[in-house]
Amino acid sequence: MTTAHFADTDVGASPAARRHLHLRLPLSPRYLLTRVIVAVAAVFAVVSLVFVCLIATGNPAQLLAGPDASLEDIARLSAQLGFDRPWYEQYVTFVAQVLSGDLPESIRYGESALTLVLERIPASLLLGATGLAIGTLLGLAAGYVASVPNGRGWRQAPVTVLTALDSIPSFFLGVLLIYVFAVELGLLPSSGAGSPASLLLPALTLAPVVAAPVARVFRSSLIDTHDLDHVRFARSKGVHGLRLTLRHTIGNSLGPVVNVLGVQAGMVLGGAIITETLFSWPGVGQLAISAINNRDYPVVLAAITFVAAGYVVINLVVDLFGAALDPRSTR
Amino acid sequence: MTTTTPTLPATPVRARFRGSKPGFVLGLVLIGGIVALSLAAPLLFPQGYDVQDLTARGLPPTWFGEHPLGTDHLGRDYLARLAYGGRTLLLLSTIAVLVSTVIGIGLALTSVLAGTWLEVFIDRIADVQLALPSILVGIVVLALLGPSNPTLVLVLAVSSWVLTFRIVRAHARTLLHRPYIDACRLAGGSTRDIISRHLLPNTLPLVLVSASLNFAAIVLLLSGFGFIGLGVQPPSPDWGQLVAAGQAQLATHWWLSILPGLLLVALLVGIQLVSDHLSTRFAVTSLEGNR
Repeated sequence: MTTAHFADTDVGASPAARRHLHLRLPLSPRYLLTRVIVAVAAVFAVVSLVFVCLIATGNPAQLLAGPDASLEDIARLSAQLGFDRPWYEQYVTFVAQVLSGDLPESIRYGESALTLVLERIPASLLLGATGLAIGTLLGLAAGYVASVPNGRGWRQAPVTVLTALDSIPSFFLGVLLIYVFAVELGLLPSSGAGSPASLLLPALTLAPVVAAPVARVFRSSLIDTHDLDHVRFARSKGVHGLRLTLRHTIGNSLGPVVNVLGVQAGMVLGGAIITETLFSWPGVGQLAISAINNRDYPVVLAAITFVAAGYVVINLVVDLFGAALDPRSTR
Repeated sequence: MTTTTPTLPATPVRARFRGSKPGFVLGLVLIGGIVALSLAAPLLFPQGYDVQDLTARGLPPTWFGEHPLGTDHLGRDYLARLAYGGRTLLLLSTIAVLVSTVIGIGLALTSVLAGTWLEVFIDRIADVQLALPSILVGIVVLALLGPSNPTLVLVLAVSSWVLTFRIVRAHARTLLHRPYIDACRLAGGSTRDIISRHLLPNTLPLVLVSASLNFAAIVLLLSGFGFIGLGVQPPSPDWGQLVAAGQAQLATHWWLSILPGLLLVALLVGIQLVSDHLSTRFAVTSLEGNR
């Protein structure tokens, strides 16, 4: 709305040109291009890092083929991934193979590493989405409670509690939750994914990471909105209570929350590696860590590359979304 | 030589802390306690962290007992293991913070003074770095190269230089346009003089703030690596590793997992309180690029 208004001030433009200006991208092409280049570079950086580390181990083909592989198998793998060629060719072949998903088979399961990773994705998404949802709801509620003007001290308590929970490392918060709810109270299962109840503890472990920043940002943004002219006007007309909040305040306060959610969504994905391991939740992160312990390097490669790419894509989408909602944030 | 510098009257410790918030003092106490325990480990437990006493296996924590924080499944004193674990954690984290600060300051000053394409290049590297979660990058390197201590320090330092870089660069850039820098140049001062006399001393408070924030992030990351088995390797104890090892015995031996976790929380909260105080004290408004 505002961008169109500013774009319009060119007096000399023909009506056709002005109509054209209304349809322009909500983002500056320069910003879009920079973000996309950085995202692509980040994926390349991960693949390159994997390559460098593989080469640094001395015998990458042996590593990927496993300790029981025959010399023929190792030679075949070496040829497939290009480890028998000069290093620059090795690099190009390796990147092409990884990006096309053509990785060696899992040493432990004998299946394609990519298939193993793809099978685990729904579980990871379910856990991440549940954690994000619980965290967002908790954060919005706590932020709203704390934002009431002239509120008493206790109204700040939920935000303080969430901030305190957020400062506990997620793996230890998980251990505490297991100790209280699974061991002492015996209410919830401590691991696995057998029932819907087993989703609760891992999701609660992830939630404070989202809830604490959301609560703080929502609180301050609500307080700012309270003093805006249109809200004061509505109040002077006699609109108050829930109606005032729902119609005039909340909608105008959610913008900054979206930005925070974006950043934290990436954090949840990164934190899920630890949380999934802790609760034996059958997601990609747990697959990666157990593959490391089993020295199943093709699966490690596939899982890590996949999580990294997912993280980069989520951050890119959220950044672009946030920039489109509020172009001022890109300057 | 007679000094004309007016000497400040010695302020008693209490007076010096009077203006500061109780949070800051609490933070210092928490950090101080853990540092003291770690430093005192070889004095308190000269026989090390690995002495097994199979007659005293799995003892719970007791007041004034021989093993105040209990023993593990091999009868090793848990306080000794925690103290030595804190030693490794603090040592590795401190080295990593120093390395990351040096990298951050170096690149920041290089890009401010050199400008042009070099600055853009370093800035893009920082962008790429921020686009990836440090735990993931760490897992790749540690899984393939093996989790030795030098590799760990390298991973931790590389994961956290961007914050220092951004803060120092932003501040150094505004400093460069101050009249006294021009004056220094006019008086024949070299770039080296400008760096050592003006840029470095002026950015020092901000470096302190970013280093404290990085310290918390590094401790968290290092213990996270320990938890997933890619950090400090057994037999050397590490708090994250101990939390993971004790998880299976939560029902019978709760202290094995809970105590190292509590120490970790105390350390992290302490660092957080101190860095909160430092950032309000030195008015750091934009801490961009901290994920």
